[in-house]
Amino acid sequence: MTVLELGSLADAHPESPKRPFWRFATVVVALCITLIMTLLAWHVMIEGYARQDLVAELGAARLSGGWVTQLVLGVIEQIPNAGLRVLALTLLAAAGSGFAFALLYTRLRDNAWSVTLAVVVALAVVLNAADVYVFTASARPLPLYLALAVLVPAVGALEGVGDVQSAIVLGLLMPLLLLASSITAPLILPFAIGTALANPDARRDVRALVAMLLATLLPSFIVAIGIVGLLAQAGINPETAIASYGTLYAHLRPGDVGASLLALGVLAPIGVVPILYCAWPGREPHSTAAAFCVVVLPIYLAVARAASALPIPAIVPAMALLASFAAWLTCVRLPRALQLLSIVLLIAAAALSWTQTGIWDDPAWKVALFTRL
Amino acid sequence: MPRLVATSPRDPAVDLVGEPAGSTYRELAHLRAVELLIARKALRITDLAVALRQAHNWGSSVAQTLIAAGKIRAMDYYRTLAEVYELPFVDLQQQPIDPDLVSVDDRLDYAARHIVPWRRINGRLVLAATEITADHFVWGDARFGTDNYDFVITSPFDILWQTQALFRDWDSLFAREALHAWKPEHSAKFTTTKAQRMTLCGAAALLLAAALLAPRATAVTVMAAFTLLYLVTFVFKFVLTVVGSSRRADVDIPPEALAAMEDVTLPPYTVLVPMYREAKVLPLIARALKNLDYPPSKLEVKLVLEEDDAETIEAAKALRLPGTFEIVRVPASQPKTKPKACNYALQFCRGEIVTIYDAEDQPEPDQLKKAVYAFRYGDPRLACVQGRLNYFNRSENWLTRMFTLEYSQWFDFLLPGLDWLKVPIPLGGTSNHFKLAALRQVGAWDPYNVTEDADLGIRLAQEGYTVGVINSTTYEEANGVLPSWIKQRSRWIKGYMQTWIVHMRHPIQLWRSVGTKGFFSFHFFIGAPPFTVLFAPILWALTLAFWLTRGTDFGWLMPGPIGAMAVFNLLVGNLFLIYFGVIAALKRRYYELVPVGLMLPAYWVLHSIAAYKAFWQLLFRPHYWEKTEHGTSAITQKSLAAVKGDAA
Repeated sequence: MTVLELGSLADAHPESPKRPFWRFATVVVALCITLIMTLLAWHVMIEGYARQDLVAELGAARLSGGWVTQLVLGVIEQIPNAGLRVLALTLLAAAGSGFAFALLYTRLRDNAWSVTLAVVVALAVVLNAADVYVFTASARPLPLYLALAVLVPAVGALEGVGDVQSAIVLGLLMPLLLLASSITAPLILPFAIGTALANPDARRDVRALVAMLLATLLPSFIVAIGIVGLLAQAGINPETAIASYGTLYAHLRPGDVGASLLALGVLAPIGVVPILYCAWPGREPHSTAAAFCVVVLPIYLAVARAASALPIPAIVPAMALLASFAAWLTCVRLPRALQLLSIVLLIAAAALSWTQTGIWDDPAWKVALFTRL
Repeated sequence: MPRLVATSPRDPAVDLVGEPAGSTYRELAHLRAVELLIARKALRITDLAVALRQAHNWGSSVAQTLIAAGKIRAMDYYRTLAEVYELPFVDLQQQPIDPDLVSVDDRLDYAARHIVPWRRINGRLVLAATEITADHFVWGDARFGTDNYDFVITSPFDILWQTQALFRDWDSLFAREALHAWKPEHSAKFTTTKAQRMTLCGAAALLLAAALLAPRATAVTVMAAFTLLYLVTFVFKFVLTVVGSSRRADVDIPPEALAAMEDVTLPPYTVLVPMYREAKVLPLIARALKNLDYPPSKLEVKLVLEEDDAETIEAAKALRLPGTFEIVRVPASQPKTKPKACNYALQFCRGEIVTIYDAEDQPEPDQLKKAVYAFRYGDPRLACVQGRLNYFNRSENWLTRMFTLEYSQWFDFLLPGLDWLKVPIPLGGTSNHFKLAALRQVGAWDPYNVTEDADLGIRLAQEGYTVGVINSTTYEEANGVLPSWIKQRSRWIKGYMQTWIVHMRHPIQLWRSVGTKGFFSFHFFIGAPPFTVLFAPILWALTLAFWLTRGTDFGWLMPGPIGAMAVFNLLVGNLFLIYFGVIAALKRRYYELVPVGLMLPAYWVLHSIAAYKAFWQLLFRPHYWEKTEHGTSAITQKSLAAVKGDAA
């Protein structure tokens, strides 16, 4: 036996083994959600409802700055058979939802949620009308939800860890705001400034500030150049795409911001939980920025929805709040009382999403969904 | 000392008043030697007191501790020890070994146990050893029979020097040919095999035939293949950077964990410093190695010098280095490469762990302990840990800034990314720490490969070992002189080409041994990059031409998706590669380098120039080692002046 081996015996191993992500429960949740969403989408299609994302003109997403949607639909459009197109899109959305819910369940368990409460949270989110609609009727706003859902934990990591790695990761995720929708693109600059200033060196040294700004802004800049280049390569005049941004922001109007915010409050009352958490005694240190983002980003969407000419349904800011809240749950340890409150509010949100038809509704989809179910 | 005494447990009846309880006869002999030295005023009692305490804490003998600390010369110590044993002391340089008595089969034992057959005197064999223990009798009895031999005492340096001289040709041959003899398919002695040449010719013939039959379709296919290759390489780098930027990818060994490690449990460690014509920077590496936080009695530093490099040998002698330092003279032979020198020195190593530093290296003092920690708590198959490399002269000129950004990206992002993904890691040329047994088991370095480090990383993976990265940095001198940079870079690119070709001799075997993920990583981290820098200028020119002349005849070369991929590579891919270079500076807070990083494309042009030189050399001088000149930096000069000032 070598001295090295003897030393290994002498000292206790300092690290505890990490739990793997793909555990039995994770796989079960992923498969169940994928299966449920696939069956529901299939049922809706069989009952004669045409997916809204495939019905709309392919270029529509481009005009609203939905570059990811445009790309995915562009690829799907290459499939010659209409039925196969629906199947491909359905399976893609269902698999994505399966993975997302598996991630949610696993992280909830890691964050000290009991099995029962974690399952109830997952079910309450799954059963929200907005969620079912996204996965069975129109996945167009999915990149927007995804963008917010990944940004919230990244902001949490930046605040909690505060090192350059977390700033880099956030910088690399910021182009999602550009790719998701033209309405979220203006968020990049404040995010970049906030990220740069989160670095203590950047608050002291101008060189560090410039460096951090470059690190956070460059990815979005590169992606913007890429979009222009690829549009030009595809024979599309990039000016038309850029003009859509100009048109959008040139025609901003006050709109009925109050009604939009009210709709958000009614359909997603869950926003109360992050606010309460920020004021909660004994909460984890350095954990308010992510909670702040969970509430503020959907409010921004609700205001922008009212102020812009883009046809954004009322359910979109609410679903964005739900997505960012679920993402937030994956990176925060909630006190028991807030866990219970979250469940109550998630169930309430699910109920309200189906019943408050005055705020948002798609009757044809609901008919198709509930026929022979 | 009589056999009975050496081989028996200590007799409690023997009068040893005042001796530490529980001491063995071996330890007592050394204590007697120390007592004699004190009595002769060759050693101060305060030094002994310190050494006794250190020896206890470090788990070393008092002799090793005193010699390593430079408190006494090895020759004086072993002369005195011979008196204790009441045996003659022999200076093997004056009274050399009879070459007929030594056996190449016992070659490693001579170095490891410090025992060697010396001469026959009056028909009786005499063994030269540095001490006499029960183990020495067991070893002697097994070879020469009981009571068929006597002992004389000598010093470890005499044994090292004599075994070097006796086995010069054998060791040299072993250093050059061992790997090729054992596994010719893993050796770069011949760049390509017959099967590879036939495959290459077949592919070329096929391409030519296709070009003649369907020139346009062939051109489009070739262009598509290169574009796809470039795209996948970029995506892989993107993934590695994102994964590697995560804090979880950093194997972070906190100072408290190191402090908790007891010196007594640390294994013996060998540091190899291969050098050739590096006399001027020798004082710097000597100072850095003396500053390593590791018990000197458990450390052996081997300055591996070419025997025709009299200047460096004399400079090393003139430094009057402590007893932990030894000079290994490498016989002149071809190929004259660093891996060959390391293989040669490996035969004299006694550490459980061995590491390599270059002549201009300045390792952080905690590096050896961090390596021990990583081995101790890592996977049992962990055979090597790589320290991070960076530069101390980063702000000297544009080239050193670019080089620093590149190294920061490599060692702070890409290698941790590879480590995180558990795929083969191409080692850096220095600061890699090996378990000696594992290193020997895989055949050590390939002397014919000019990036032997990268090749070794792949071979370790193929033999089922793993490689890790530790958070300790070795600072080096960035090459800030353009011709010298081109030379160094062309060697690296040539070496990567060699490594890829060598391991692609049996691709299925490679795939089976490193797994699908490792196989993919091997191609897109080691295989593709040297060729992409070779082809990059052509692709850039064609893509630009296509883009600028859109609508003209040129567009046929990149139809539809291929054109989109090419534009994506040109804009998004290249800009993100610049971005990766820019952010590479952030982990180390080299903020001043961030804006400079925007000039990376100019640096890539230099890569391409080096790649063409590398390719030319691969064809015509595959084993030629482009020597990197060190000591050109103003910071190095300043440090040297400071060291000289301290010495004065």
